[in-house]
Amino acid sequence: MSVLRHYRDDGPLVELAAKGRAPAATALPSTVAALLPVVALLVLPAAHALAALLAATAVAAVLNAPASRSPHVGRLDWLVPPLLRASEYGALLRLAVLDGPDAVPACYALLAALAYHHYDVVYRLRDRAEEPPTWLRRAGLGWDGRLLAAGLLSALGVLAPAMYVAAGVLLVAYVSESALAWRRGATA
Amino acid sequence: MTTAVLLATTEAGAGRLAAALAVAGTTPVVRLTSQLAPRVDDVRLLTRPTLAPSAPVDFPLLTGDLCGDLDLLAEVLEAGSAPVLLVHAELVLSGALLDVVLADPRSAVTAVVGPPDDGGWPVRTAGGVVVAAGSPFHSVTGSSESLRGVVRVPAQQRSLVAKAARSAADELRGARMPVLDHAAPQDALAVLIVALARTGVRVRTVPVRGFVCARVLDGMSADRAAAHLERVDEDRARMDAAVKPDDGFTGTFLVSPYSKRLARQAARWQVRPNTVTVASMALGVVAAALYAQGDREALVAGAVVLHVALTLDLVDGQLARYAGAFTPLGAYLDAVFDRVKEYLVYAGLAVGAGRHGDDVWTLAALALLLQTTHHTLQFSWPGGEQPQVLPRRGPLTVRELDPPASARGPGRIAAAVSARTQTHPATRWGKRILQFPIAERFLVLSVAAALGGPRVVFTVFLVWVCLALAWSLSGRVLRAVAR
Repeated sequence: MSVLRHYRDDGPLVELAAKGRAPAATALPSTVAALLPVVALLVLPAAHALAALLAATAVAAVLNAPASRSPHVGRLDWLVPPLLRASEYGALLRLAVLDGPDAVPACYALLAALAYHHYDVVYRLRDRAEEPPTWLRRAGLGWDGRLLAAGLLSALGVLAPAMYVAAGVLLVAYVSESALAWRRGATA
Repeated sequence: MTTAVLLATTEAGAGRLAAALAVAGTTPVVRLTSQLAPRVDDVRLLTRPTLAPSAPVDFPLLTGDLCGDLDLLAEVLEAGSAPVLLVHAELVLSGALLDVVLADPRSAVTAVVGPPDDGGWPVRTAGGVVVAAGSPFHSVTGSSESLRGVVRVPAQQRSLVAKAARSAADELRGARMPVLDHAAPQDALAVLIVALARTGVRVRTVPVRGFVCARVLDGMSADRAAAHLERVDEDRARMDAAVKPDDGFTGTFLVSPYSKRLARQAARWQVRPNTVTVASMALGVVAAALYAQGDREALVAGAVVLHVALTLDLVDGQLARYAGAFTPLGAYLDAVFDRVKEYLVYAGLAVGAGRHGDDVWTLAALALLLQTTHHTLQFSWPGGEQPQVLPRRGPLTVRELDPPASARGPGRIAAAVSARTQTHPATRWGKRILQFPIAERFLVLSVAAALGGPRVVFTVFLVWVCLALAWSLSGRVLRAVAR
């Protein structure tokens, strides 16, 4: 088992698709599918972007099922976490750019909140040997859930305010969870 | 606290301990004992019955041979629950080096290594981990460093190391291994390191750096050690050793020369490392706020403040190393605040540019995306935390296990380029600069902001981080595929 699986941040969609399926030994081949949403947003005309994003995210989540609980021991599986980060952040940014100039600073705020959490997971595993709690991963919706939600909110025309709200809510949740974990560690 | 075991099994002729030779008005073993007394709970001395009369302790641990030494070490390791320090009794070393070793926050077995020379057993290391080690019975090809005879076994590794020592004794008892030519043929510590490497227990290295760590085996090496002690300014060596050995170019050459002095001063004032970390974070917020004003004066002021924040960011780690005050929370806060500072500064630059009608938010978001991706790549790559070449497991009765199979095809070229560029300082530093480490990034974020403004910052930043990503990805993928 490698620590890499904790870096994934899969959401409920991937989890649902993975239910009852045997995990693959190597995670990279199925994880490459996570690039679909950002690629769809980049190559397809803006008019079809939303439908493309929703479809691509659903497909990417299903294709990621075998990787989700994989031990991540393939010789190139260390490419999985940077690939997941780049594809999720890239898709969110591309969506914001398509949405309009007001959505981009909102997207920056959201990416900063997500980055905080993704670094937090790495550093707490390093400094406390502590795995990220499952409830927090689910509450954050995972990369798949966040992309779907962003697509739907963009369709409703509220992407910019929604991204600000999501950034605020997630940041409060992530920061307070890590502060509580450190307090717990200090009193234990 | 720690238990220290001094291994005094080397003879300097006529039933006399090498550790009892005269060096600078005293003897290595007396010097070591008084150096260790304030630093550890308990100092034990292991020696031979025939050599015991020249040992300056009342009740030494006595064994008859090397296998007995290993069994005894195993017993000591099994008996308690505090860290154990194993030291050659004939070492002449800087007390501050003991502080560095004892304060090591890592949970792995650590061993002090120095440049390859006489008096130390050769080791081959990869990524700061011992891959193959030498001993009176074992040789190493392609060694790059030598073991200096100081080994720390943290509490959680005691039982593993004890097991390795016991099985080493069992394996070697009765095995006829020719002793390679060396002045210290009874070196149980060297055999223990070989045994650890060959049973897959990770031994991490601690570089000796500017400290004295000389082994006295005869009159000549005694004189050399005394001269070395005379030469070295211990406080200066301690300050230099507080600088992270694998920092980037800007950090090492432009900031550390003065930040290490600040760290020493902070240690004298008993400032806590976490206080410095928080101060650096606060200055980062101030810099971001100044950048958010967007006008020229504010950009210049922000750049100055950001540089001070960067300096303090190096001071906290150097202070922790200097004072031996590492904590997991300190390491965590240092890392998290670095990221928060940096991403706040991008946002500050984008807000400031927006006030002057230049929308750079997409560039800022791209910088965040690429930098996070590059970090994630560095965290995830096994070479970052684990050795690229794992120690090969095998019996102790073999003089040298086969060197690891060399890479094939493009991986071999990547490995060769990597090794070749590592030997020359210019290319070694060039590679580190290309990796775009934190001090280089903060330099771009301050200097380019003061001279050119936000758009210039992000342009330089994005080009550099793309180069860094391309370099990291290509080299690592090639090597991983060839392995």
